[in-house]
Amino acid sequence: MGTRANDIFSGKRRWLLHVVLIIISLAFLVPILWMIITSLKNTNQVFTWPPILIPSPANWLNYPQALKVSNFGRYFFNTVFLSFWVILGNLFSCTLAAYGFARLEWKGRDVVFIIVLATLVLPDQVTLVPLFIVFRNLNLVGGGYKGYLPLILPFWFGKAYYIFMMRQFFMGIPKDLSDAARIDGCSELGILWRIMIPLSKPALIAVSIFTLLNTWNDFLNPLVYIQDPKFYTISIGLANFQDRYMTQWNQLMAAAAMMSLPVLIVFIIAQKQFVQGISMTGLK
Amino acid sequence: MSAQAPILMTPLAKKKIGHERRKLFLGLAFISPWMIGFLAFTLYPLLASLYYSFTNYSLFGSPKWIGLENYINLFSDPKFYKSLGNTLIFSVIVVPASIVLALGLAILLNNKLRGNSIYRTLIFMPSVVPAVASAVVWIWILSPQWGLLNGALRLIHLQGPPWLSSPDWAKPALLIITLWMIGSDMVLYLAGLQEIPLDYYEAAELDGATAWQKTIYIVVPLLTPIMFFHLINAFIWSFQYFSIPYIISVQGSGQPADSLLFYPLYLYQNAFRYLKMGYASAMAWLLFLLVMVCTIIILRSSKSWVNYGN
Repeated sequence: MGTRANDIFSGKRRWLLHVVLIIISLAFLVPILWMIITSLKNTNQVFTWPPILIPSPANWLNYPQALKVSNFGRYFFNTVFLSFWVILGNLFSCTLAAYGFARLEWKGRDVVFIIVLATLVLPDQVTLVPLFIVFRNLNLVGGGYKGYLPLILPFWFGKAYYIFMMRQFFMGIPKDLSDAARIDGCSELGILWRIMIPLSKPALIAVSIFTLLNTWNDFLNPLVYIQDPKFYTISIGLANFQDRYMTQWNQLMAAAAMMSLPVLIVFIIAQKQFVQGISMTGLK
Repeated sequence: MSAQAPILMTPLAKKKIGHERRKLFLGLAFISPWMIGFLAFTLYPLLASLYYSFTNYSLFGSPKWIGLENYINLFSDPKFYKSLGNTLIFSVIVVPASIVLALGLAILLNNKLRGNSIYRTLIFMPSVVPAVASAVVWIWILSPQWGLLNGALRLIHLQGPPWLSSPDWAKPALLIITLWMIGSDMVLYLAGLQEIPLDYYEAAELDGATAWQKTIYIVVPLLTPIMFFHLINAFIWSFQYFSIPYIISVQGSGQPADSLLFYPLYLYQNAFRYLKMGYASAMAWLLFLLVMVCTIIILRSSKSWVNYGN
């Protein structure tokens, strides 16, 4: 491969760049590898030095074992259930709002949009206590599936970050298309549904992936709101497991791997959307 | 004025006003879910938090007005200062470190190299590993006796520190964990780098610029808008850093010796362990003011260093 003008390291120094990048990317990879390697060891193999790099035979039993002691299967299902409703609500509310900000012209729009952006800098902890009190007074904190409502409802009413992301994408869709539809008598809702949404698949996928990731990742909100162990999400489940089985590293790593693998798989399949999504919010 | 307006208006103007109003209603209808959400999940809690901060409330009974007592108590609470100090120190280190690292990695990856996409994937991957899983994996890696890191240090005849069990090393350990997840920030810069027109580099090359000069005089100034975005984000994020400190400090205790007792963690403890809702709300409002002031300072400063081109 030849060099281009934006190649900062040219010519003979390129092998050096390879060496540097190989070392760096290995450093980033090692913790993930170490998690998987440890998860396949039996208890005697965990505490040895020099470490066993390829446990043989691999002790796959740590996975069912971790599932059994920590009720991980249940947490897994809970988190998928929760993520589904969160993603659905987020797609609904943020496409509507994004369309209102990107494609409709109305008085005060830009001022309101600045308020949307301003809420981005508001730390979660600032609103946490009063929201908890409200949801508690509504009897939504505690057990049962209704206990998920405090985690789901905010997403049905538009989150600034995702509204911003969708708006950026909508603004890039040529106006001629929606103008033509409008002349043909299509309503704004019709334009959103029949023209904008089909053209926004990459953005909708990016929003869904980010929402999934954040729900999967969220620790503070489930910690505060979910008090019935049967309804724990996977992050609370893993944190509890870590408290109780602090030195069972092989099982702990199996549990951590089970929590990470679905997200890593989604990431590997949808890497392009990830990258596009991140750049969408950062650039313009 | 508005009362007289209809008399003076031509039918055409009237039609225009009606049209404007229809547009306004339509716009508001589309953003109405967000507006309800803003009122219910942002504005109301923000104001309620201010009210609770002047009360004594433990969830039982009703809030009791105590005026400024929570704030007065906060300012004589050593743990408040400790947690604020921890958060400020960590922010001041982690924010610049992540900007430099993310930008540096992006510059390395912006060369047209065989295997580039593999490097990029590997560096990016840790940033999608869920926080709790990352924390658990790193507790194992940083284990003083059997951890991989200290083992590797022994290979080169270094005695590794006790990391998470030492008040002096817990924050550096957290810094390592945090920087390991830099990938998503790096992607921002990478996207920015790819938008820089090739002519810029070509012109610099004709002038005989070195790699270092190209980086400092072309790349960095053109990326200042992204650095600005990243700076604000990273900064606000560092003020609410919760999950990883919670997990690595033994059930959210902030140990060892309160070295990991960050502001959000102490706020959480007050609210949900000691049920001091009023006290926690006072902390929340101070956090809100602090974030506002810092954001405004960064916004103001941006005029002098962010380059928006034409």
